[in-house]
Amino acid sequence: MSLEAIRDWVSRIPKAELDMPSIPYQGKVYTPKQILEMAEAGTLPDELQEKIEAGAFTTAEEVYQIGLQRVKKYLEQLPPKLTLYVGTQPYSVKELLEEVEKGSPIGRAFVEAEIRKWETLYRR
Amino acid sequence: MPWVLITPVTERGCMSEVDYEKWDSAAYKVLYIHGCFAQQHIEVEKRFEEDADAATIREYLAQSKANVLACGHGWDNLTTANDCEIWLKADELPDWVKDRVFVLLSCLTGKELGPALVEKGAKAFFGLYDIGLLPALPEAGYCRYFYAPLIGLIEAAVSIELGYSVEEAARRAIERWENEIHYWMNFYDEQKIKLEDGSEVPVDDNLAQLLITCLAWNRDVFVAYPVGVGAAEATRIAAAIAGAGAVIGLAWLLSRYPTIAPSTPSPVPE
Repeated sequence: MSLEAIRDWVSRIPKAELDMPSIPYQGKVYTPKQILEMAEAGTLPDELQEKIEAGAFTTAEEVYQIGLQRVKKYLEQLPPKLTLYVGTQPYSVKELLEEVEKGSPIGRAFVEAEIRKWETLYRR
Repeated sequence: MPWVLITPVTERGCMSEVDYEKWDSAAYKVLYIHGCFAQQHIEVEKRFEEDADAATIREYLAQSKANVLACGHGWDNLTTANDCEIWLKADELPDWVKDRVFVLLSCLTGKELGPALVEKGAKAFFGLYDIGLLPALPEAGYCRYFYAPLIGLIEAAVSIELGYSVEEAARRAIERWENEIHYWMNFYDEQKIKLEDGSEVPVDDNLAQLLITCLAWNRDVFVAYPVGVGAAEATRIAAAIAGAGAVIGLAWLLSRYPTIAPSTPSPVPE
């Protein structure tokens, strides 16, 4: 995949997704912006390029890690006063993060919702 | 067919943490719902707000033939009015539910109450099969960020009024959530959250991501009866497939929804 192809791939990703951890490779999850930076610096590994081209991110563990990192990324940067009503139950951002960290039913539901979002954007 | 809008304004019975004098989130629901109906010139026969107590609502609807759009907390088999009084319960449905449409912005009511209403003779039910998600910020004013998660359910009501079938209205509801997700994915930085002191907080990508999760979640638990159209159905099937180890099935099922034939969603009051 050429630099031009990576630029084209990034240009088709929605703006809100550019800083979201989305592409797993060797234990790390990269954002589209990081992928583009590596491509521009000539340091993007061939194997990772091929994964992007194929949309081949398949293991369940890998997928769960992506969901987890994506949820944590945005929750950690939300205004602390923001509350989310899950039905009638209010959760602060801090409480939601704790639920995600401990893998409670609501925490897992958030991670799974994030996986569905990611699937529609990156999986082929 | 005219509509009765039920938007309870005192929910302290089940949400004691919320100080409505400061948060006033019920007021946003009322403003948004009323704004949508006014914009489409939909006849509103009666509004219940401060007077949304169970006995008054039931007494009124027994004499009216109007369709019903109601907010309020819900459970599998019931929905509530002011102070969390139950005004509609699956195993105690009166005859007056017949021949009208119910749109309930009320968690979980798609499980038992919705099917029971249709079985009793209601024309249609639009609601949520699971809990709904709504972000809130104590000092925020009325803005799109906070009413967006309700958008598909309002679209269902408006579509019925515009003459669409139940199935078409359900598809338009899902499409409305899809359009809203697309908007926040790509244009979130056009929006600001207005605070009561007049200042504004720009919506960044993190706020957008939380909202997109809420929108996708509510879309996925939306359900319509009697046709059974709704992403909730796909979610239940997908859960069964995923349980069998085929994660890719989930992506396939969810990816079907953006392909629904385009229609023209109702405009959103800003």
